[in-house]
Amino acid sequence: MRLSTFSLTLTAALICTGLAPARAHDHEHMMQMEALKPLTGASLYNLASRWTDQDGKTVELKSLRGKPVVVAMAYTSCKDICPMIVANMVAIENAAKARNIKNIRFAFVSLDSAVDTPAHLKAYAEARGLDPAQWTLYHGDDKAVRDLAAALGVRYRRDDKGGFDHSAAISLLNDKGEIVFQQLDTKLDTDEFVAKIEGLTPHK
Amino acid sequence: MNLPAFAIRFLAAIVFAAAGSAWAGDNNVMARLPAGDYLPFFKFSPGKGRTEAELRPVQVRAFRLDVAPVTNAQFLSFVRTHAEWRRSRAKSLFVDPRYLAKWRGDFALSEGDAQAPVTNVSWFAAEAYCEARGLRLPTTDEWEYALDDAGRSREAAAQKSLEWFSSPNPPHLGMVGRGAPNGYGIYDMVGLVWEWTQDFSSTGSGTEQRNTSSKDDAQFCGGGAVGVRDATDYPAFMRYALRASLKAAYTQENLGFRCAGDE
Repeated sequence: MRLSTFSLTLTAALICTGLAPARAHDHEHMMQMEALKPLTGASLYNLASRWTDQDGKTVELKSLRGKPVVVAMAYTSCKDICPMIVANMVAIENAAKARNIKNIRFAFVSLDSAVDTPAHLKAYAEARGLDPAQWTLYHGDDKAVRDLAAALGVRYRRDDKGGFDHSAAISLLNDKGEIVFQQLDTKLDTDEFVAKIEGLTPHK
Repeated sequence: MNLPAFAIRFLAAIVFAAAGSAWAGDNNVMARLPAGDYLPFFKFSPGKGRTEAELRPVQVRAFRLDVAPVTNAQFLSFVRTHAEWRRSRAKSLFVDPRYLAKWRGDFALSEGDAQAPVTNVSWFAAEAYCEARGLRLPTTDEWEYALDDAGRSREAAAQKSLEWFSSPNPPHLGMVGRGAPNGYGIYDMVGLVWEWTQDFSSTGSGTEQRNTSSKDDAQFCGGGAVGVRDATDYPAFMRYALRASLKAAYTQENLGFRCAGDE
């Protein structure tokens, strides 16, 4: 039951890909403008941690500045709750596209610094059809993961079977990197979440 | 700038220790704890083919732990050299509005509080302080292992905890290092302040986040007493319940910390 819904969502994700190129220049301009301002005190981008993305590039979360960001922490070998988290993020992505909201980013941050290498994350993204134009998958060291989890209020603990018990939270950041909304469990109301994104600027 | 002072105090501490003198109020002194195991408060979820939660010892590697909670004076010297952690400058991502609320300003302690444990510090601030010393916060396992004191302090610590819980919060916290140390030479594990641990958020990470009944919740709320080491260990329930209730930017007037390091 959960599986079939998930594969449907995946199929949908595969069909709906690509950014509208026409406004790309405006987006870049907005992001540059935002990057010139000092960070607000509540911005997640005050975290100085460095990460590696699924292409092996060293990145800071700060590079997401200027756009709304949908972020969750999970790990790829997780069979339990993580597929639902990613499926929910994909549902948000699709619902946003249906409402012509294109200029948002999706961030999957791995809790499992040992197993989830960038190559592993890339394979995971490809297997699930996560559009690299919108999705970044992050690998960080223990401290980077710990600090981000703390800032997002994600509680986690390594279990005795090689996985993690962890929160299912999906957070929405505004263009400044401030948390504006959190979906704390997997019972996502997609319309509600997308309405929160619509309330932000710049999102189109 | 402050490094030489730090170093001098540290050397002085070593001299004290070498002379066999009692610890003299310098809480840069760290105790060495040998590797060992302890029985955690929460049982493990049932293994394959089993139905009942299991009590299994947790291995702890050798580590070092501050012999006392970090004091206001120590934290003051940290914020002097780390401007981003001054009360007036700390980011709201990292600290709530009560950060260092008992201080009278960025660099002004309340009278008589220099040697009292620093409180109203967030997890982020505590972590930053420890990192500035090349250290980290102790894990919950390490902290509980130090409290357990290889079984030597179990009863005394429980008794002291109960006395502490039943007394009102004093207007001023006492100085650190006043009572008797435990078998590792560690002071004030209970009775003065609650303490942050590095993985405080591992308590409460269970299934309650999925809106189903939680293992941990059940343990806190009566029915699940079978899931814990000793259902009469009220102080342990309190410690884990507090950790489960915290968020990393929270500050509380009775919540401090000490640092740990790898051996």
